Amino acid sequence: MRSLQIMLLSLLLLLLFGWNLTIGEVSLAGGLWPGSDSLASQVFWQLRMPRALVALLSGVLLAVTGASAQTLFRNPLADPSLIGVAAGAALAAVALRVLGAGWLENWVGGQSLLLPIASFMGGCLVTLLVMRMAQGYQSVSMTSILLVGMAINAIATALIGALKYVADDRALRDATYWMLGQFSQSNWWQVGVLSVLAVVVLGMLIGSAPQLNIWLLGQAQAQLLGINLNRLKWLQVLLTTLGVAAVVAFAGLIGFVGLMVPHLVRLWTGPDNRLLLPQAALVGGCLMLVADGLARLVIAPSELPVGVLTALAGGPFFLLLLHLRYRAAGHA
Amino acid sequence: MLSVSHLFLESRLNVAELKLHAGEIYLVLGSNGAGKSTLLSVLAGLETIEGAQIEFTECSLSGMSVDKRAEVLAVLTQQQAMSFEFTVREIVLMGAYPLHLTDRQQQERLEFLAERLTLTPLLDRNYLTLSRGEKQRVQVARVLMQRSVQPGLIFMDEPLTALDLRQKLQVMQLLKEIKSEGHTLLLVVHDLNLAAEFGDSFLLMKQGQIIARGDADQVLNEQQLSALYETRVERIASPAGPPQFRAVGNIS
Repeated sequence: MRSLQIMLLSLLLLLLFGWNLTIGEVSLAGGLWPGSDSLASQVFWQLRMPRALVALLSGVLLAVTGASAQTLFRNPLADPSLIGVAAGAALAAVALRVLGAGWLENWVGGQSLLLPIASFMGGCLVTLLVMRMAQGYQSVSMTSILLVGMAINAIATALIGALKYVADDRALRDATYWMLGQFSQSNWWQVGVLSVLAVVVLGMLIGSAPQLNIWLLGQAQAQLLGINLNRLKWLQVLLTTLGVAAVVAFAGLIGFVGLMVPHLVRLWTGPDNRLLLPQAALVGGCLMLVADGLARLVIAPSELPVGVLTALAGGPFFLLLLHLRYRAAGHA
Repeated sequence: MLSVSHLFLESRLNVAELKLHAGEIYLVLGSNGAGKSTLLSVLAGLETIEGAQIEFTECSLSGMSVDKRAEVLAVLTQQQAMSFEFTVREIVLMGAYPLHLTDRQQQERLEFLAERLTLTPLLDRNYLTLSRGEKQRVQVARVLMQRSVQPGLIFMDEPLTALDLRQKLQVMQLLKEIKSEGHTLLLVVHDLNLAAEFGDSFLLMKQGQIIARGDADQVLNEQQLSALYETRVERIASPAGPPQFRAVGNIS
């Protein structure tokens, strides 16, 4: 049953991957061999293939880190942004675009490389700040992480607002477009980084899936069942931060995937992380390939930011979830 | 044997020494806020006290790693938080996590506990949709699933909460059966009649201290219990079984 589901989802992923590759103005008829210097081959290997792979891997990472954040907070409605990683990464990227850093750019080798590095580090630093401050109040309270995370998120959002306010028109447009999420800047270098991260994050989370299930019983119960709470908490925070920071750094803010996908998958797997995580990864990949494909199709030859599409689909989905939850609880 | 000394925690707990023998049920009695739950959480290692010595069969319980401790000690706490839709079966089986049981052993334990706690028809139900009493029995089953393979320790804070008359009896009878495997059980309960029937030894707690300990004849008398609960308690001797108790009003 389990392996059948995984096989079907893998097949779907392959089909969607193929479909995503066919989308675009240039016809792929004629040589696709990597060495060929035909236009079709160039477009296919330098644009479409890395783009489809980045979309797929981003979907995998967002879905899996979403599931991990929901486990971390023991709340099915939680989202990785709660630990401040997305806001930190966005703040760093917007600051760089608006304020500029010419000397650094020359040193690192252009904005295309500096921006993801800064953004990745921004995400990690802000998460570290949230964790340090939450640690100060009480040893491992998840509530304090949540509260500190909300405050830091608000501050980061305000700073982004201030930066946009002082930005010139071009920087403002760039920053706004980037924050909506897109895969148009994808390249093979990003594919490499994201594949390594996807393997590490997914592998380590699946490896600790039984512990993650026990974690859901609550702080005291998990400890009494022999879980090293601190180690598991830091593992989850670390993997979630790395995964989300990398996706935000390359593709900007793509909302709701981390929330939606684990929820959707739990409908048939239940909450057991051993079943949930691998299937959430596959569904996350599928969803992102569809979203990216649609983003390029709906107003072709122009394209929509993919984050707009996921939010458009995700918002109503979230409302539906709330509605069902309230109805189940007898409040409707 | 569990032996404990130097348990002093602010003004909440003050226990100089305590010894619990294997294969007995110890019942902790006392009014709300007497320090019963604090005693249990300190013994379970959820709260730590400098200088406290908690030893189980000559090993320091507080010096053990959490996973080793979970192999010999199973604890039911009062608060149970769960917001994910696990099935009853999944929750109960989580109790087996720290033990190294084969699938078959797990299955046997599961069937035994489900049968004794009338959980068999609920095994595939979503835990979140259960009533309070059903959830309580699931948690009792999870903790008993975790019982040590060798004679070990089982602490339970108010295992009878939200249970009806028959279920309370069911749980106590099951605990008595578990005791016969050689485990030491330390339970916090409020039902004096069931306590008198199933307890081997009693600890009366007030303001963080154990004010009396001993078997039913030694401590379960009107004077001690009235002082413990600050209300007059009447003991009704019954010729065929354990004594019965009832509260009859304020001490004048």
